Amino acid sequence: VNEKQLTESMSLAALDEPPLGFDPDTVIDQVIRRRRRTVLVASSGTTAVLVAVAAVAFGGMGPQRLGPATSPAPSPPSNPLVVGDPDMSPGPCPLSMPEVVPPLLAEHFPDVEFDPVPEPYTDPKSQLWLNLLGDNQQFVDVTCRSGPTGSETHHTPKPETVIDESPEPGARLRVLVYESFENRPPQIIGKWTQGERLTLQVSVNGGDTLVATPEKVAALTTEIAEAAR
Amino acid sequence: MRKSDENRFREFAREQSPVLRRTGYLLCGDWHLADDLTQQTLIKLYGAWTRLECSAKPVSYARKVMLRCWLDERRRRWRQVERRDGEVPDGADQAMSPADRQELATLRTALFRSLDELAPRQRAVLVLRFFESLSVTETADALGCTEGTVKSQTSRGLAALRTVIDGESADAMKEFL
Repeated sequence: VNEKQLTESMSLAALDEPPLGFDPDTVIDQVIRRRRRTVLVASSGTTAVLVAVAAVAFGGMGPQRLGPATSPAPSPPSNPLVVGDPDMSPGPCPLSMPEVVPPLLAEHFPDVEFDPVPEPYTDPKSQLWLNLLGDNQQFVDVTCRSGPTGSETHHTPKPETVIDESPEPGARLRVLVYESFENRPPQIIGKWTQGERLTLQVSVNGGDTLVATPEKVAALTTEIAEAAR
Repeated sequence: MRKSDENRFREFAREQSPVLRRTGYLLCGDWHLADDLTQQTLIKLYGAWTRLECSAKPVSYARKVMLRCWLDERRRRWRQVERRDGEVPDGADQAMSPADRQELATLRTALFRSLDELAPRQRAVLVLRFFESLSVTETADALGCTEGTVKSQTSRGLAALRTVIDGESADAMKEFL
């Protein structure tokens, strides 16, 4: 077999092709719908934590750690977030996500190849940074805000809180695990709140490629929060 | 994405989907999987489209994404390896005579049986060089490697093909050509 024969063989093999097995417009419509849904899920998750934090602030219920009791009971945040006017816009993100997020993702998920393009996507309005793995089932998104804001969101199924601690005065770190539902992989969410200065949420939709643990998500959330100092 | 950008992407997708699928087919040897790879490529391209339009190289980028999708597909541990046995998929060209279709099926079987024996990147180099007619530089860019690697992979790939093509397959390919 020489080069010419191979060229001709390949060209002939691709002849007589069957009709396209999909409609490109339908694929694009699906992508648009999925992306909108993903952004909505991330956005609603952020608002949910604000409600939870507000409940702690007003209910006087201190945070607790639900894992192995390896550290002393943390103190409640000294400057908890309050529920703001639902119409109030969130404050700006105190960190430069394009500079901070990609290197940390590469460090924490060294074997994961996110979208080959500079897909990480920031929406300046919602302060959302989205890293997809192509199929929209596995992704990491980071939402970062400052200032008081909040609205009520109901989550089904209810997540399990596996970490709830105060890593430093005035700051609270929680990690919640959502079960797999509707064929979506389980989701682990790290939430860092620090008064009105910072509200950070890191969501990892895991799967075959993107394997995450609550501890890993907690570490990633903490490092992103530290970068916001 | 603005509506105008979206419309341009839709136009691109309609035009390039068949082209991408042909490349996918040569890479994997299965029209159905080639459909899947093309869809994955479109999904990934969508997110980058506004930036790609500025670079004016969306086709080469699409090819790059398609290659990566296929290489990822090969790495999946649950991937089922399918051996082709000469079954002819439903074709669109009804004008082709039954005898020609049979010969084409034999050629396909011989070709894909040989290509299946190559390492994935070696196979990709041969498809890009000899089906897509890309230059060494373009192939290196698509695969993210050096030109020297492309040259050596081409040489080794052709040598491996000669080794794995048995007498019967070689006859089938020569007969049809």
